[in-house]
Amino acid sequence: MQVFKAFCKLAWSYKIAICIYFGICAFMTFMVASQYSDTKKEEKYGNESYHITVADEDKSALSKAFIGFLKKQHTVEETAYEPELVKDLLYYQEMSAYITIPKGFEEKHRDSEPLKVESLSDKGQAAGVFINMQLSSYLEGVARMEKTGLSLEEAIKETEETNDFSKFVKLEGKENTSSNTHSKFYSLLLFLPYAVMTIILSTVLPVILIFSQKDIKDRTDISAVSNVTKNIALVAGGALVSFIVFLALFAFTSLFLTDDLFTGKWLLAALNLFIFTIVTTTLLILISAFSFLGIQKAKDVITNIIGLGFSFLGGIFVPLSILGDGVKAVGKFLPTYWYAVSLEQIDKGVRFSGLLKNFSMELLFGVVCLALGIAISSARKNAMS
Amino acid sequence: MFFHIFINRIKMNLRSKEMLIWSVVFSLALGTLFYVAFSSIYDSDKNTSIPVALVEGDLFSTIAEFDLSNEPELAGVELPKNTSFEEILGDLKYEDGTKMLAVKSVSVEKAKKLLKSEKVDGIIDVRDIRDIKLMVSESGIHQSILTSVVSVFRQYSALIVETILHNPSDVKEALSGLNEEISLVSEKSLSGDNKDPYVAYFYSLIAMMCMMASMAGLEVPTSCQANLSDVGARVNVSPMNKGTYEFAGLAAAVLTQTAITMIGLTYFIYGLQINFGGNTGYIYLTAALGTGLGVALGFFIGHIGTMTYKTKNSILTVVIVGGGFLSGLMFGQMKVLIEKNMPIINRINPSSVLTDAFYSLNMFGVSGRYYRSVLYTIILTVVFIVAGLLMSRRKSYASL
Amino acid sequence: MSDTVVEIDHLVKRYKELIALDNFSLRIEKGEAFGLLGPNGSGKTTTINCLLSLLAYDNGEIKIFGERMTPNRLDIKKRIGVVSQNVAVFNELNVYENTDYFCGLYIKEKEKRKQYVEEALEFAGLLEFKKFYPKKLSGGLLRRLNIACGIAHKPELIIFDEPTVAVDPQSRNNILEGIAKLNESGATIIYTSHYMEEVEQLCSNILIMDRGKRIAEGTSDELKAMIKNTESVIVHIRNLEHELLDEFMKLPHVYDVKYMNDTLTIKCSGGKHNIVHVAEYLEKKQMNYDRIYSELPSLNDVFLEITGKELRDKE
Repeated sequence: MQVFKAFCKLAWSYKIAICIYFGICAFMTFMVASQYSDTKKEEKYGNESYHITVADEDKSALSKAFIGFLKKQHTVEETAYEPELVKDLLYYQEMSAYITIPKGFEEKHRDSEPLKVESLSDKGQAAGVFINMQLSSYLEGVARMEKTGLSLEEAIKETEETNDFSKFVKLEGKENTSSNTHSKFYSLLLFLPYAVMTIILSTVLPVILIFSQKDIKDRTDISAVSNVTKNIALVAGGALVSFIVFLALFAFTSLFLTDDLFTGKWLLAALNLFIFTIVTTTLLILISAFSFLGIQKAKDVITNIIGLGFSFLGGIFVPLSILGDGVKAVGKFLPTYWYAVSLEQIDKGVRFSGLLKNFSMELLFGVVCLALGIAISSARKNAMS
Repeated sequence: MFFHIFINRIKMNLRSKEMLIWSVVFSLALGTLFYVAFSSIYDSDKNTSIPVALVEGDLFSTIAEFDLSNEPELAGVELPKNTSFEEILGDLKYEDGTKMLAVKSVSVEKAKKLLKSEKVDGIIDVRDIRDIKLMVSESGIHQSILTSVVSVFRQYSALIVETILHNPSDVKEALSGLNEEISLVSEKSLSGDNKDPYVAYFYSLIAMMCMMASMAGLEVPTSCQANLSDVGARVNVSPMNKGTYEFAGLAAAVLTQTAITMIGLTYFIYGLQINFGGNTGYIYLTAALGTGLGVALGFFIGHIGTMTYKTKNSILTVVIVGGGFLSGLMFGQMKVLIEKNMPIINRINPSSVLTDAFYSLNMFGVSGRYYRSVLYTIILTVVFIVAGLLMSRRKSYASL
Repeated sequence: MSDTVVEIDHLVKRYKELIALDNFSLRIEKGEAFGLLGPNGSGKTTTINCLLSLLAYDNGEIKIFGERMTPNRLDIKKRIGVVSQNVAVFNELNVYENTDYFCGLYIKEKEKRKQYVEEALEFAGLLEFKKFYPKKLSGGLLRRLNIACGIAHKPELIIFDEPTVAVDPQSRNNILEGIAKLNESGATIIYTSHYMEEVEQLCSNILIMDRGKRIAEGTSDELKAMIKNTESVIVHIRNLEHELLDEFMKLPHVYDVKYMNDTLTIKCSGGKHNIVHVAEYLEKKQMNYDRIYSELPSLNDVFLEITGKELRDKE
């Protein structure tokens, strides 16, 4: 009990740090939430949908029809940006093309030297090539149609008809693959393991490391408190703080998930995060077993390595579907991976029984950590005595 | 005096082995991780030939049914006689010269087999020239490109076939219309040395490595302020000029931390062969400046108020982790989203300033924007150091 | 120029509600070994920190070498050496490097510094431990390193703030002898401690303080002369009946008698051969005792008599 009390007191001395970390994580959650508030359109069958920005300086019938055509399959934003920002947005793939329709485009589109629609994209990428092909095929199609004597309206109608892929594309074999975009529920909760790891590692780990400092460790070892009791107290203390962190983070995130509150999905997500929190606590035990390596001083760096490393490998930041198979292979050994997989399935409506395997994989990692931690500690102890 | 302190501080920095080792481990481990995770994503999306099966009829078989020579108006019009669909499709090229399509002319049955076994991304069926069809098994960017290709052919065939069938006298016009180059789109490509957005994760990582140097910067005032450490008291009662003392400590921290950053950066550039897009010298220079900024930040925070070491440490963590988040370390697009909505944050957040410096070196070369980032870096560094030194002036403490 | 090295006048230092120094004054002459004695928390270290301009104070004036001390008086600081209560050395530097480092804050010339550092290490008996890192040193050696770092630059005024806390008796003696040597070679010493024996042994002038106030000042003998007690006769005797205590009071020069834990303490004021009187009385009453001896008054007695409490907790 003494050890537990001391643990709590020490952990309480980190209250400012805990608040600060919670603040950053809350802020990050908030940012993620705001990013996903404008849910992306469902992808259409057949063609890929991209973010395209159009600066329409012409505002003519042709330019409007053209934008309307693009809007049918892409997310189109009509606005003008500074050239540098355009480049930034293209580079970071926040948009795939920036299209400028010059003033007087419709008027002069049949001249021998017409004004041209300017399309800026990464032509090295398939997306850029595709969008440019679409632009040309539409605009030039209209022009050719007009050459055959059709009026602009007729030409537009005709061109849209030839471009309507539903008339000539046939899906053979496989079913349409489901959309890659995720719900807000998924995106918000996906981020939490990073927050859990960062907060717990940066506030509970230092406290545990204090107990493994040589002087304090020796003093505790010679006291009437048995080693087992001490370790149980430390784990209990760590678990208590972790539990509070879990509650606070989940409650905060739930503020953004008002539609899902107290549904089965929400409860399963809570369970998923709870299991992850337990596993993180066992990770602490493993790390602190290495206290003899002088990790005390480098705990911040180690926290970052583990927090960022696990998150990337487990698909917390960048979806696993994008990352290569190599990453996935490694990720399977990490609880973050199984957390992400479970969350995806929860979001799709999979029930508890279907998640058992994932949950046990998460817990397995915890058991391994625990076993390794205890093994290393006792091996050290034997080696010393 | 300066050198006495400087040399000794370097000795101390080099002897804090745990910190040194883990800092290097940090950059090596996360660099390798990013490399494994991101290196192939962009390339997989690059211009690659799309395998496609062609179920052919002769493109101009329909046209050939007409004897053009009987039409005096069409005298002199060259019909591309021996052109097959396969050739036309095979001639389509990306900007860099790569063939857009890898065409296989096969029978319908064979084509369907190929599609099923995912050997091809689509089947273009031109048996009926009036209704060219595309068959795909899933949706994706390759299929989308095929759709575009096919829709252009449908336009052409619609034009010609309809003309020939219904107004043969207009065929000349229709054909010349086809031959005529119409170009209404000027395609410009995003310029820059390496357009792979996943390299930006490395930018943020380097920025984070630089910001982690702030922990070393924090040690400088800690070791010479009486209210932060016992040695600090000893320094305070000595006749040592405190500015000189702190400056020497600062210089030593910058030197050791820069060495750590350089090890990581060299590993990225020469070990992992990450393409930061030329200007290697400038990249090293920027990383060194960034490390200086990191140390200066820690130095500054170390001087603020009467907060405990723990609190100051936490503040730095906010800057390192929170700043890293805002600069796109966890979600690549974060930086540009902020640039779009609240650009001011990108100017103040040291991690973003550095990330942007690397980014602009790659995308804009050694340009105004790069210099702007460097200037911000230097200004922030100077402000932090001067503010720190001002706060460090000899003072008596309210309590120790 | 006067020979006063340190002058503190009416110093007041408050920590919020708590008054750490209450109108405290002192004066230290050149060549003196000045002892600042007081229980834990009496304000010794606060006085030293104010003196060194490490702590801001609320009122009063401090002069060192006849000049007002401020944080920026580097010329004054140059002439002072400080051995702090806590060991203040860098764990990453070895014994030689630590000494050289701190000496280097005072002495620019390399050659001179080298010589000074060697001398300081020899003085502290650390020559054979030059290459040792602080973590490998025993508590006593660490204290000695702390001292070497504080005095290597040969200061005129050396302040020792409880330098022997947690040091074994042997090392403590070494340290005290060393300090005496420094004093002999001309350095003015300020020595704070709650070990009265150390102060008594070392210091020519002693100031006793408690709760931030000055209680008494003088040489050891002067201090002792201030109090009634001149001699205590101590008898280890078992099962003494309390009624007999009054009998002892009737002996000549006796003014206080206490009996605790089988120990009878008889305090006398003036007079000679007090122990003989007591022994004769015990003989006469045929009382058996284990041991009898006489003790001259200590500074603890001075403190006890003035403040009514022990100078430090019995160990």
